[in-house]
Parts: sequence; structure tokens; C-alpha cells
Amino acid sequence: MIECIGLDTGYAGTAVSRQIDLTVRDGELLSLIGPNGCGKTTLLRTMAGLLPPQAGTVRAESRDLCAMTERELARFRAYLPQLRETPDITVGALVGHGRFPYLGFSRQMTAHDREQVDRAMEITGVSAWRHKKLRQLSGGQRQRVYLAMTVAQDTPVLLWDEPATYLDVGSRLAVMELARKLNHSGKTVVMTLHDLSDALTLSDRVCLMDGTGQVVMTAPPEEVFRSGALDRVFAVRAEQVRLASGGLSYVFTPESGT
Amino acid sequence: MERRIKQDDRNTPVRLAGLAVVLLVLVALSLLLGSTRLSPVQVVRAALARDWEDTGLRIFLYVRLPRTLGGILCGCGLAVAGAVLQVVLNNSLAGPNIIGVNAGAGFASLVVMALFPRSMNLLPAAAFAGALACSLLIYGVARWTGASRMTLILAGVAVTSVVNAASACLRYLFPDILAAYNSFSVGTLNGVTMGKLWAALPYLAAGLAAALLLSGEMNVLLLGEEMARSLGLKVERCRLLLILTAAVLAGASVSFAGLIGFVGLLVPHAARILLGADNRMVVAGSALLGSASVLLCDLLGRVMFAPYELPVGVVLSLVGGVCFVALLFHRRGGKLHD
Repeated sequence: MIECIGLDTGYAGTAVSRQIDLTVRDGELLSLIGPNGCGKTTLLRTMAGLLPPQAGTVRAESRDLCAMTERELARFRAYLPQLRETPDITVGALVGHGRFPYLGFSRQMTAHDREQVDRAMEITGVSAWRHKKLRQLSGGQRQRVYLAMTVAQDTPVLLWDEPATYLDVGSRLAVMELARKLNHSGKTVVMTLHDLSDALTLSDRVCLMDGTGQVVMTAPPEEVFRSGALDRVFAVRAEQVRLASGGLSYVFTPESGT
Repeated sequence: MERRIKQDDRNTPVRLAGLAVVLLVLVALSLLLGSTRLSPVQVVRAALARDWEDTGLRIFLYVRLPRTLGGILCGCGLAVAGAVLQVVLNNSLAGPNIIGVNAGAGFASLVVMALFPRSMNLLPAAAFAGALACSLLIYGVARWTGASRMTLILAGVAVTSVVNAASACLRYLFPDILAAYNSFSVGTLNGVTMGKLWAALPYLAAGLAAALLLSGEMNVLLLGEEMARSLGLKVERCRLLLILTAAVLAGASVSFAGLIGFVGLLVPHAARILLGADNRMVVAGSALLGSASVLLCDLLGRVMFAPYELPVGVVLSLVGGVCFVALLFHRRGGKLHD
């Protein structure tokens, strides 16, 4: 469980969001949505312990995040930033880095570490590329490999910052499916998403932020949709559509459109 | 592509061993060749007979041995310093001079030459202290202004230019030190003594050990700062430790060999091309390859125009530059680490 209590996020001197109260429940899949620049990433980084709160606290399992060591944090949550380097290493080596928080002084992987790496590669479907260089892969494939690394970190909580942005539709849906699969296997998943229909169809709850960085509401997708808050925050008209398969999806049209 | 990947996986230890063998051969040649050719049998015989007056043995002990050891140590120190800095700054153009090693050492040695011309034995210690002080100053300025990789590089450029200007002032005010400074600034192993080496050895050993111990952290650092932090790496502390390591390694090397350029910049790239991107291998490979290239170039400088000698720094830039271009051609299509 992650609790943000009276949390102000931001950087030295400039607050991005004020007075956020948000509780991420164990085992839930929560999406942070909001317009560009509203502070989703800042909130996610603060929840990851990578950015100190400007005020208030973030607690993980009732412990203040600030009181945890880097290593303890790295065993509690895995965080995937949106922008990353592409080092000249193999897929296997990159996923292996996920085990860094568990390595001893000699930095040698144990049999257990290797097992975890294999498992992470299997779940995320990247085993076949193990010996390939990261730079030989497409953007969507690289994304899966980075996700595999966060899985290898073997943490109860996964924090992904825009894991699907810049991906083609197939790769994007593969990432969404992976998020759901990991969530079903017991992981708590928090991610920032730009695609609202993904966020609404996939998540247990969504946390909607407005352009000023305030949390408008945190609720199940259906409830957020019915409240009409999406229309206000994004200046669009949201519609729920029933698919031929029976599932629900959402489409968005311009506010002023017909 | 497929071929290169396999090499990365399996052949790396073999290649490392190959480098070690090359280094051993060069050590033997460096001990025996020069203006006087020594016969190993004769040297061993004289040593066993404890004939300390034997000319061959004296050359071996007081000229060849310190010179060879000096080549090994400074090549290893500068190359590993460069390998470390290229990772810390994530910049393929980084070398020891970017953190002010050359500027600091050059300035300190000029001060000694100008103000204490009778105590030239202060030179190594002063060069070492100058290199270290300049690196710390640059790190301090960078930290104060933001501590990103870019501010460090910019702070390096700014501080280096100030220190170099101060050096130029000294050279104008004390023109008689130019001759001595010239040989220091080019970099030469001529005149290396065991005493200077003993003074530098503990720093080099500690620096090399630190670089090897931190090579796992260097791999994580290459994933980017945010990623490294999220994996539990104390990025700030790790970066400071690595910069300190590089400053100590390069400063100690410069203290007895002068401002040898090039090794720290290009040897780490060559090591990466040969051994792959894993920094555990790159550090070890840079150590071996750095030593080997300095020894080779020193040897060439000694024999090419014998009885005249070219300083190792000059030969290094000449031969090394050409070899490196050849290496780049060989790997056409591949990318430099950047």
C-alpha cells in the first residue's frame, strides 16, 4: 500500500501539485491521467521516492519513504522512467540489471537471481532476444525489455511512467496486456497513461488530475466517466461504446464538434 | 552482427588473455631493446654473480626496469582513468584532461620549476597534487552549479582555461623554465626512477582496485541517472567516487611520466571495440591495452631513430591516432560508445 498524505510535489521552490491525498491499494492497477504537464510524472517520481516531497509524506507499508534506504526502496518498487538511455548491451544483460538491488559486495548474480531474470523474460516474452543487442530491437521491443527489467527487480509495486507512449498500436496493446497480466499475478501497478481509453478499460481505478496539478477524483473508470469530469478537464466529449465482443470502450470527440 | 554478438558472449576472456600475452612480450622487449641491446642470459648471470659493476646489469636495473615499469603503470593508470570518466560523464570524448588533470599537473609543475628550480624532486608530488586539486575544484564548481554531467564538462572547460592561462603567465614571466617544461608537457619515460614509481604506486594500485570494484556500478550508471537511482544506486556518491578514482589514477601517472595525452581518450574505446560494453571487461582491458600501447610506443621511440630518442608522448599520438582510425574502419557501421 502506498499512501500520499497532504502531499505537495515539485522541485525546490516550485510546487507542481498541492495537497494530494491518494492511497494506492495492494494489488490494484491504478492509472494516473491528466493533460500534458499536469504533474503526473512528478507525482509518480515522488511516489517512487526519487523526488523528495515538498510537503506532506508518502508512506509505503506504513513507513515513510524518506526513511527508507535506496536499497530498501529498490526492493519495494520498480520505477521505469519515460526517457532512457539505450546502452550498447544485450537484452539479457539489461534485464539482469534488475537484480542490482539484491547483489552482494562482489556484484555476482546467484542462481536465484538468474532464475528471477529468466522468469521476468518469460513473463514479458523477451526470452527469444536474450542474446540480441538492445540497439538491434525496435522501439516496442525495447520497451518490453525495459519492462522485463522492472519485473526482474521482483518488487510488489511497479511504477511505470508512460509505458505506451510513442509505441505503435500493436506494441501499445501488448504493454497494456502485460500490465494486466502482472497485476493479476499479484503486483500493484501504477502508471501514467496518455491514452484515456486504455486507462479506462484497463484500470481498477483512475486518478484524474487537472491542468493545475490538482487531483480531481480517484475512482473506478465507470464512475469517473459518469461524473463528466473527463469532459471538463480535457475539453472533449467522452462517449462509452459497447463493442461487438460485448466489452466496453471509450471514444473522445472535440467538445465543439457535432 | 551475429558474429559480433557471439564474440561478446564467449570470446571476451580469451581476448583479455591475448592482451595479457601481448603485454608480456612487450615487457620483455622493452627490458632488452634500446640504445644498448641487452642479452637476458648475461643479465641473469651478472645478477646471480652479484656483479653490481656489470654494465648490462646496471642498465637493466637503473634504466630499463624503471622505464618499463613506468610505461606499464602510467599506461594502465591513464587508460583506466579515461574508461571511468567516459562512463561517469557518458561522453565518448571524455579523458583525464576533461577533469583538469593535465592543466592542474602542468600548472603545479611550472610553479615548482619557476619558484624552486633547485628542488626538482618536488615535481612528481606537485604534479600529483595539482592534478587532484584541479579535479576537485572542477567537481566542486559543477556540484555548486547543478552537478549534472553537462555542468561538470562545462566547469572543466572553464576551470581548465583559467589554469592554463595562469600556466602561460608563468611561462612568460620565467622563460628559462621552458626547456624543462617542454619535456614534461610532451610526456616522456626518459628519466623515470624507481623512487618516483614507488611514490606513485600506492595511488595507482588503490585507483585500479576501486575502478574494478566499481565496474558493476559503472554498468548501472550507463542506464541513465534516473534508472540507476531507481535500481538503488547512490548516484551522487558513486559519481564522486569514480571521479576521485580517475583523478588519483591520472594524477599519479602524470606525476612521473608528464602530460601523456591520447591514452586516456582512445584506449578505452579500443577496449570497448575489442571486448564489448561490459565495464568489468573494459576496465581490465583498458589497463592491459593502455600499458601495452605506452610500452610499444616508448619502444618505437627508442629504436626508430636510434641513437636519438623520441618521447613516448609524441609516438603515442602518431601511432595511436593511425591505429585508431584503422580500428574505426574495421568496425565500419558499428557505433562508438556515446
